[in-house]
Amino acid sequence: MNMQAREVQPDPAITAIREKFLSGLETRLAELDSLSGLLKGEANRARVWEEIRLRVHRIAGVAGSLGFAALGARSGRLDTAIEHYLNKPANPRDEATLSAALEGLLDDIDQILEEQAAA
Amino acid sequence: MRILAVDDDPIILDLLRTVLSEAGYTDLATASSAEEAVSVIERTDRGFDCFLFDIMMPGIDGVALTGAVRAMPQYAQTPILMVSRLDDKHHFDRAFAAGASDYVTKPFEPTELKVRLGLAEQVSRQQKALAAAAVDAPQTPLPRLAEPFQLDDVPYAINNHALESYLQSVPVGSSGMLFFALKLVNASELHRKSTGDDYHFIINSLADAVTDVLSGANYFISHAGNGVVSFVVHGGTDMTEEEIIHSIMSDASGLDVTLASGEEVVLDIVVGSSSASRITSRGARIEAMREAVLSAEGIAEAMVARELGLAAVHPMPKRSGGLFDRLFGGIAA
Repeated sequence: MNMQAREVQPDPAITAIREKFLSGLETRLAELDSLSGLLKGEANRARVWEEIRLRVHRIAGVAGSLGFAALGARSGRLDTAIEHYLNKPANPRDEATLSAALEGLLDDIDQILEEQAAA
Repeated sequence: MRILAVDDDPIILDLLRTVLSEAGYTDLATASSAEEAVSVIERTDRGFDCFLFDIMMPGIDGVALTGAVRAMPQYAQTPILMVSRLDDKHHFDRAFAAGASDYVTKPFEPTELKVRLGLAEQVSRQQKALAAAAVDAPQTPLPRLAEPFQLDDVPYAINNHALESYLQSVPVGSSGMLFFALKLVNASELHRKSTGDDYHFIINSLADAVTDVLSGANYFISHAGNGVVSFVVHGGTDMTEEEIIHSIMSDASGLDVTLASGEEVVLDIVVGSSSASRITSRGARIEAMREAVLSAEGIAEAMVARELGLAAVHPMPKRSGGLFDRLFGGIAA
């Protein structure tokens, strides 16, 4: 038997969950995009960041287990950064850095969705 | 093993269901919030053997849920695994202080989760056996000398498995830790003379003496069996390792207890330690805790041997810690 020729088949159950994650990713993107827009207005910024963090935290918790390691790692870093910011939100430069990181995450999600659409 | 998994992300619940099923754990209930979990627990006619809790959820978080479940007498000892993305030491400390048994960070590796569940299943079986024995016993059963048991109403007391899990899982690079073990030198004799209530009282009294000294510090404490109370000081403390040892020796050495039989007994103790201020690996922390226990047990054995005039027959064990040398250099209580 040629062992090298044998490929590891992905677990069908995990594949199904991965598909479910991908199909919900557009909704996650839309929610984050909408919350990001609220930061430009007069909204309670800490409350908005808390909502953003909850969604980023969820992506960070699951993306890595479904084959999206880079997305998971970026979300994890942003999750931690928002937590630290919310614990002492005095510095506007920190918020600008967070906003830039959020934009980067949204770009990543966008790219994943485009790649899926093209596949 | 009947498991309740709680997470606000349905994808995580799907993933847990799949991973657990592949590991043979098919009796799984789920809830998407702490509030729903409490409702499921209260309504179920079959108890749960293990819980998997996310921490960060809208409303009540997983740490508060852990505290609520621990307050239910039937789940005071049931394994609770935190499955969380939060990987700062602060979150580990909160979770274990609330009663978590173990902590797995997301994204989790299915193999790691299966191993942790296997350990939880072992603990669950042992606890069920102990609970069944306790039901048949007219009073608190006398635990075996070597058997670890949960300390009662002692601040930051966690069970022995949880202490080991904490040391294994708390993030590498956390601030320095100090590891200690208090050994009841005459544990065998006192155990032989005690009722179950007596022996629990003796061990709890020693733990109370330790927590009085550590008041204000960050620590976890556990009974490891064989008359050993082990504790780890994590995070800052105003006291040095030596000051902690001296304070505990001063407060706890020579405590006397009246047993149910009416006999008054004196508690002879020693304290072993192992500092790990530069230790960053998880394995090294477990080893440091074992060193502290070995240190205390070694000193206790040597004290007994010296009292019996057997030092030449049982040479004193060689220990790396300075306490051993100090103790036998004339500082011993």
